[in-house]
Amino acid sequence: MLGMREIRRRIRSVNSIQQITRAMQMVAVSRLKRAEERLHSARPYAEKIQELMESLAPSLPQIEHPLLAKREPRRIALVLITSDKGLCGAFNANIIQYAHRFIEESSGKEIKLFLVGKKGYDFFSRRSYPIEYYLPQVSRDISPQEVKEISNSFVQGFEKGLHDEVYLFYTQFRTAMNTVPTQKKLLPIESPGPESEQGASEPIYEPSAEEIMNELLPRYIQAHVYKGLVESSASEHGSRMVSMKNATDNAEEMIKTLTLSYNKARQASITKEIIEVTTASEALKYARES
Amino acid sequence: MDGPQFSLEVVTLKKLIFSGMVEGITAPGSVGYFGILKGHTPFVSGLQPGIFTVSLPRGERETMAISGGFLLTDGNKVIVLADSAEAPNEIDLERTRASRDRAQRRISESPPDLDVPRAKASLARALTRLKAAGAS
Repeated sequence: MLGMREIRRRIRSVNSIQQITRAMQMVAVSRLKRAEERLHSARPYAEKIQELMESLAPSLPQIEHPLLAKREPRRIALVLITSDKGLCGAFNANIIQYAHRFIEESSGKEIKLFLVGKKGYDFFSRRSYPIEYYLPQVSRDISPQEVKEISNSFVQGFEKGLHDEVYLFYTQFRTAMNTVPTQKKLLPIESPGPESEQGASEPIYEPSAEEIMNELLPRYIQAHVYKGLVESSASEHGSRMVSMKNATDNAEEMIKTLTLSYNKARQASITKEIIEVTTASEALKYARES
Repeated sequence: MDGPQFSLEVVTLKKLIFSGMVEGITAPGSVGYFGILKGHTPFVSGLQPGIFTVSLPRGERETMAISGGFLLTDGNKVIVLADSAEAPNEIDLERTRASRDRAQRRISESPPDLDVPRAKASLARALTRLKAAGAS
């Protein structure tokens, strides 16, 4: 059994860990709230741009655009979104494993990595995969410049024919308890949805359908990248909130057990002292009588 | 008397800027400003940096500075996908002036590494913002 001093020290240290995890939990709760709001307000744009893509779908086949080019998929670019910080449960492990499995399954193809977030870089930099691009520390409210930068990193390579397909790996946010590693094929852009019904009058394009496409396709990619970033950030904070809550609860439990054994140890030492006192006084009495 | 209305939605990557019934709009199309009223023929246009004006019912008006994007309409609704859209009171004058001056300086100095279209686009965006804010 541990000594009283030892137990006291343990209780103190568990207590301060608990304070930290509780603070982190609070921070995660408020960040999650903001991330959820961002997720919510990113939805209209994603929906509208999808709508616009669908309205343009009938004229897609006639348009030749580098981002629509279908090639034999030999070289694949994989865009992976992870977080910079740990202590968020299995959040990073899940998405990294998911991406890693994808890489192993597509053996025989050349894989190029485009990494966002430090954790993914830490994992893949120790393995022999070529890392084409790495962006650590996306700012908290995800600026349009960052989205553009990330998109450009792989769009340019695709246009030059350096890779034939691009997949985005991110963590989809359902609830704080339920986040799902997800993959999405970004390039080449596939004609979205069912072909719209014939007879709907073809809209007028200004300046032309082709030029609209030139402007639209990069933004379509950016919208997806932004969505991936926002979903991942919400998932990260959700996972952190859950795991920090568990840590705080576990610390609570541990403090309870430790306090119990501390009290037992204290009681034991008091009993011991009483025994010593009574034994001594009995011994004295005996010595005086004899 | 109120004119016929149609629904307008202005969205950016980050959020929904405007959603509601309007009587008309004026937008900076990639080949010049144009107006849209209810019943416009189906139409898709690119947008360039400029001032987007919304005519609300009861004669009210709202303007915002937008910096490119798209507009599409089917006659009953108009959707604007803007790269950015700001109401005049949201514009940070100080920053905008700084970026205007920077762009002008770069263009006049024209260093060898100058990305001309980019500098010009940046200047156009800054000027539009200032105009929308009614400042210079």
